Amino acid sequence: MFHYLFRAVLHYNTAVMKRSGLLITILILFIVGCQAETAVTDPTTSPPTATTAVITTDPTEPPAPEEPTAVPTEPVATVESVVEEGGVVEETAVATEAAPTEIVLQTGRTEEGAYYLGDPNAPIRLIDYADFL
Amino acid sequence: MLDTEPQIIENYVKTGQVQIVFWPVLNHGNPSTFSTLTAECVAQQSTDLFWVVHERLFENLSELWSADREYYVNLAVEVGADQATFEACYDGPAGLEQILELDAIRRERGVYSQPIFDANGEVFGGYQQFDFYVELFDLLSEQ
Repeated sequence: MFHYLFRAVLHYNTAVMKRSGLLITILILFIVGCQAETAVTDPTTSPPTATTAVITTDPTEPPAPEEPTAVPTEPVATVESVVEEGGVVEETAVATEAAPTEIVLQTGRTEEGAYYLGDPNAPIRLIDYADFL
Repeated sequence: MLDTEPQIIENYVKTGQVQIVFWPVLNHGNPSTFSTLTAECVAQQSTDLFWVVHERLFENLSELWSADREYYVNLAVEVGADQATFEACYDGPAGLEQILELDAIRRERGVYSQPIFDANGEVFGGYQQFDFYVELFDLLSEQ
């Protein structure tokens, strides 16, 4: 009797295990399917690149006096909208002040061989006698 | 000067009122010599790069006391200089002769310590606050 009881329990456990295994498999497939639908791939982005300031360079020979490079800008026009009575919108162009002219930094070498920054024709020359230590 | 210099550049150099000239002073033996030589050899490739390495050297001042050739080569490459060209200058006589000549000139001018500044003949020493330069440049502009 014990033998039959043992076989019955074994048969029952096997069935349960088969059923559980099936349920687990279905559950796993469900989860994987959900993740596949919701997965979002980030577009690849290029790594940030270092930027350096662009400044004009004079030749190493004693530079000839030259005007600093200027970037003139046009006056910027803006539009003002005025809503008059009756809902009529009147637009007028209003000229604003021009943006300040951008001076590009010059670099070069003096006649003696020291290195400078700025306009060689600047009214003030500031010599910095210095040691890096 | 490192703290005040950006303000001077922004307010006076960019507007064309002031030109800054860096004159090397070699008062601390080999560390002074090789750091200045590094700046010289980078500048021979690009005077723009001189000011980049100038800033880097001052920022890393504490490291310069023990810096060796490899340190300076790496620094030059980091700021954008060509390594082979830099090494040829660094190891050769011309760059060294140039900085030694500048050093001799500053002694002839009576400059024995650093930093010393000369603004259109007005000589003063030590690092000053930006307000000092504002007053100085205003004064010199009136002359």
